[in-house]
Amino acid sequence: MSRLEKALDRVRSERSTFGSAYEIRSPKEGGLSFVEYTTARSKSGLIPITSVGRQVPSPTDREWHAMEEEIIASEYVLTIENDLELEDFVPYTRSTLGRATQFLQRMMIYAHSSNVVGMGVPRIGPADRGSIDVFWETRDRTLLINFPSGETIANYFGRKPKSEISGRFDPSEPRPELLFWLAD
Amino acid sequence: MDLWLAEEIPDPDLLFYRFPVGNLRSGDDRVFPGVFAENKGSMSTDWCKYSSAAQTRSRQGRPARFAIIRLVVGQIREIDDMSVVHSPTQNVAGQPDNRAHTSVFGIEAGVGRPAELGRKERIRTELYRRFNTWEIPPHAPVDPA
Repeated sequence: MSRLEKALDRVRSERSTFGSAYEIRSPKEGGLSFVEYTTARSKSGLIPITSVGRQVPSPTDREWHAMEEEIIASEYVLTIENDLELEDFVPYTRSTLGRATQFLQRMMIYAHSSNVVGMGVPRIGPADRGSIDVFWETRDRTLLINFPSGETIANYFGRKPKSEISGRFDPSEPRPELLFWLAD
Repeated sequence: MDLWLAEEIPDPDLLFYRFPVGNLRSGDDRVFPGVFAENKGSMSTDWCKYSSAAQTRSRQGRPARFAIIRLVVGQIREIDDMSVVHSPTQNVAGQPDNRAHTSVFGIEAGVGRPAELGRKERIRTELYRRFNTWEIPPHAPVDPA
């Protein structure tokens, strides 16, 4: 069993016993934290005795905080006005932005719980007709996910050497295949 | 005044594309894929034969509000489904005359084109990969000419 498979197995086991090992808090409340369980053996297996919140002391901590900063900075899109007086202009809404940023948080949590490092932090910005782009750009790959205004799906296209991916999905769940595509 | 005819634009020629600085994040002037968008069915640009970048920036008034990206016609045409058509505006109600006006088609899926998931994202990625620098950057001094 590979290291990644072992890590995923451990996370699944923890989730089935304790629920998620993560709590999502607003940035003002300190952002992501682990819920650390102290465990003891019993006939039924591992049981939680207490939980202690703490900051993540790992390389992924920097990635998480960079993502939080990006999410906060992305709120500027809500102030964009129709400077070109475009007929196609649709205002940017907190609902659309929220779909994009919540999906990004889900992906990052999934990455951390799977011990995947290297997903990187995308740029969040405005696109056409009130839609929001989440755009990863690294040395050899790009992934562009667009969250349309007033729709519950997202569209994407990614390119790296010898590989292209595209499609649409429901962003209410993380997409492991995109994560592994970004981080491999 | 003679009517301006639409001309064939050679591949090596340049187009100037105007983008509002107000759509950029404060302190981050980088181009991003969302810059490339259609309005009323095409992306409006100006052909370098009849316009300078500075003129394109000033065309709608208050030029300091805009930055300019330079596009190369042939590199746009390299992208699947994209086309460049000279479309001068003249004597059109509500629009200033503009002999340089050029339409870039193909970001949105057109009628009769097969559905392709992620198509618009692919095309915007391609445009961004080719044209991700400013010809006139945001907040650049306005050319007095």
